[in-house]
Amino acid sequence: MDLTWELESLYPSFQSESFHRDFLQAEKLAEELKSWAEAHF
Amino acid sequence: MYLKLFSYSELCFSLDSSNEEAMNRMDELEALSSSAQEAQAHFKKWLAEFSEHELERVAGADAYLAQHAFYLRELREQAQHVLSEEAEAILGKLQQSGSKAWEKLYMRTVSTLRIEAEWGGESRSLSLSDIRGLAYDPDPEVRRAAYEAEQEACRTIAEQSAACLNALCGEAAAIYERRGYSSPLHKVLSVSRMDQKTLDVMMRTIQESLPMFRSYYKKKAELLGYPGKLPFHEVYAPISGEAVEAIAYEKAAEIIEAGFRSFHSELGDFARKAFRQRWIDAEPRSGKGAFGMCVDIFPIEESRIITSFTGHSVDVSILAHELGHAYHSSRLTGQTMVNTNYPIPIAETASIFCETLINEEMLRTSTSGEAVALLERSLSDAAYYIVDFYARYLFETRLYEARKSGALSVEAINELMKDAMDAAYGDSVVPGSIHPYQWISKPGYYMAGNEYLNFPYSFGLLFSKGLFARYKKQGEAFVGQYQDFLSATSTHSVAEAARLMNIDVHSSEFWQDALRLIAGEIERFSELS
Repeated sequence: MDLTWELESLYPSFQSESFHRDFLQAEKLAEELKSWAEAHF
Repeated sequence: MYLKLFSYSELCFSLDSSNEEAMNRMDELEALSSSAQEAQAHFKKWLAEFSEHELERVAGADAYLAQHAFYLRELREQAQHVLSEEAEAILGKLQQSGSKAWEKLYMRTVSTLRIEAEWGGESRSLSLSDIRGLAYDPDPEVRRAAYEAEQEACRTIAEQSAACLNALCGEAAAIYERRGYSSPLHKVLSVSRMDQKTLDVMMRTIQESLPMFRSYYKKKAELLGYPGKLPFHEVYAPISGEAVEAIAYEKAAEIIEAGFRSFHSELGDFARKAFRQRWIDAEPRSGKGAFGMCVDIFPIEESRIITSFTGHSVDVSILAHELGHAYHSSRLTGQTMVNTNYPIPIAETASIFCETLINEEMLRTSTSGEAVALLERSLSDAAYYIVDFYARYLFETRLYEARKSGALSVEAINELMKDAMDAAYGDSVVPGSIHPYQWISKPGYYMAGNEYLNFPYSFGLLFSKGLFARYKKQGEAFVGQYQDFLSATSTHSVAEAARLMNIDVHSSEFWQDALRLIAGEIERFSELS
């Protein structure tokens, strides 16, 4: 039985395209959420 | 998505604390989360305009809002303690050079403190946390020397530490009063979703149980060869039974799966999934701490566990403990993110429950030597969360009271600490063996905005033991209720969630049942050792 974990199902690495894409998307969503909240509340 | 990104960075960092990329990504993601926090602050302010009645009416009129009624009520309650926008902005800035700066000064003082120690012919330069870790060393001479070195090191930074503590306590009391809390304790109860009555009943029951824990310490003194009382530096000393064959990781997985399955097939299946899908990093490696940790990744409905498995029975307990955390989270899948938070008092429920389940299983089949080691670890943890945290609770309560009349000297803080420790440990430890600088060696007192990092953990330990006592009485009938309870922990107050299991946390009976379970362990420990 393997004593190390599997992290690839999250991201293959910090340099991976999926990490980069999600990071940019999270950045965009956070800004949008802030602007939306400022405008509505 | 944010949680997935952060979890990945955190997991990489926890494997290797020198991983700079992981550290940088965590910093960037934390900065990013401030936008979301700002959005929530706007929402909270808007929500504060609603009366309690209006909020109930609005939440009740829409299924989605009704699903989030607890979250909305809690946010509205928190909003009642928010000051004006201008005051909050000034406060935020001032805290950077106030409590946050005092916290940093303490942390820096402690982290740069080097303790030159020499024993066994070897010179060492150690940090305060290294020195504290030696309380668990198998060599009694190392434990004694480390304790003396700790006391001396604390003495050298006592004045700075007292200045930090006075400033932090003073600011917390002033700010919470301005926010409309009756005391720092009131604020902690609120964020812990606990009420004063629960705390009072639990503390009274703990106080009544102290003689029982003192009998455990006295037994430990006897086993370590001390007449009658335990020198305080031996409180965490390991008691190992005879050497036994190491447990293979595969065997540990089997023990856990079988033990969990004996409770319910769902829990057994969960353990199997965690092992088979490689959720656990159990390989002991340098750079990896000796602690256990569980990170829940709700977006992918999985968790990851970090631990160092060396084949001892306590490693099996730690694995079971961390899998318990993961199981708790699995009972919350399908909830929206804001509905997955549960407070500190509840956070250890499933973990300690699973650990107790496996300990019972291992005790049933272990040799007497293994059983002593297992019982000692379980009792040492319980006594730590009950006895030592009782002292910390008394100390902090008295500190806030005394601080009202002005800043306290090192001697005055020492006196408060000594009285609190004496009240908790009583006649079980050698008089005068508790050094008075315990308030310096515990970073929890210096974490700005995190007061009373004590009784919520005592609650967690006792509550979980109380549930286990109930399971032993009710058997299978308990299982479904317990699963529903875990699912409800993120959307109910502590008392409401407990009520779902017909448990009244305002009644001392429940707490006494929990303590009786520990009393049974002390009895068994005394018989076997």
